[in-house]
Amino acid sequence: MYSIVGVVTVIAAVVFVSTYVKAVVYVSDSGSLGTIDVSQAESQGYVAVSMSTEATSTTAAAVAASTSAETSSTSSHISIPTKPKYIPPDFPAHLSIPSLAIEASVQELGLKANGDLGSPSNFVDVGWYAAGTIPGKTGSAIIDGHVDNGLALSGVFKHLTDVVVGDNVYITTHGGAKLHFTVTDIQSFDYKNAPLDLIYNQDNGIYLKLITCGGAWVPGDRTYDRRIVVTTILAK
Amino acid sequence: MIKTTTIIVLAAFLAVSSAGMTSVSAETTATMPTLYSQSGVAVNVSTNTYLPAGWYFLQPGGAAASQVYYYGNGTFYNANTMTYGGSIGDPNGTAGVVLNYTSPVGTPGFPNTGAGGNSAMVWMTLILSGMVAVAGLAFLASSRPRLVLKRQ
Repeated sequence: MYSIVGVVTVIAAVVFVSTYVKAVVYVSDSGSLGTIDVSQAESQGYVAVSMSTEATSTTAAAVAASTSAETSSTSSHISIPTKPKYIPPDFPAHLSIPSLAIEASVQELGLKANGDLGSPSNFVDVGWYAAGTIPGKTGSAIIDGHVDNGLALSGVFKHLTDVVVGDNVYITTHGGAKLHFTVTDIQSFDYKNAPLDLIYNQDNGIYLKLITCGGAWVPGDRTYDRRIVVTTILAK
Repeated sequence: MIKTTTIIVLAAFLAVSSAGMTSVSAETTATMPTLYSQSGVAVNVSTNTYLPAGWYFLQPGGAAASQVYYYGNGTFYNANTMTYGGSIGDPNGTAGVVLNYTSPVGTPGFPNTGAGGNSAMVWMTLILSGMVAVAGLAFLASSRPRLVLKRQ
């Protein structure tokens, strides 16, 4: 009886701790750094497979080894490490939105296996799409953040929809530079039907776009059915 | 005289034609660029050296504008130009290997930045597991077996 109760107690404690950690502290399936599926990328033509004839003979063995290594690995994905040894000074380090009292560190994000942008590994940081535009450069730099955690408590972007046109957004880079953006637009899109190319690839200016979830919960997809996109432009 | 002139003209024609063909082929092919470490050392000039994944530069000097991320399998990503480069057919990423080149980054899907829709179940799990754990600890503490030392 004693041992049975002991085992049940330990199991209950493990369940409690793991549920709490996942719901409040750490997002285990977010992929704070995403992966890129090599086979998917190849089908999109991103990786070349041909090479010059003089290289073929010398690297045939290497190709075979590489192929077997890739097929025998537990995952065919390429991972971007969490923290590169050298962080360029113009990479974003901190996000500030004074009107919402948001002060957040910036994580680097990649793509998840399904091609979606990753999200931060906790609920207080924001994440920057590191394979996209660097904030302050021409194009659309993308930053996302959680709207809530597993307990429905507020995430960093809980009140993102409260911004108004004209509000200030600041990015501090790792080199110490402070970039000033101004909110120009707040939009809500259906999570399955949105102009993703316009959102991610708009390049007729220097944009910073903030993304989070909104709308109603979709139990089957374990997500909300809207995406809030706040567009800001570099202030002159 | 006519024969010499004809030979000169033909030679010039062949020379020009060859130059044109070379330039056309150079326009349609690309080669794996030399990658440099932060300290300016070329890191992928050997055909037998495996280059680890990480951040490298297209030019010595470590400028952010030339930084790329190398995936460790012959391919790299240049965030400044939003293009991929290299080839998994050349897994060592050796500089100078002729390749067909890059394509722009595909547009990502939306991130999933919400988790609160399932909060009722999460709260229930926390409360129940917490109650069981506390009750179990209380039971164990109150009824721990007493050790009786017997003299041999």
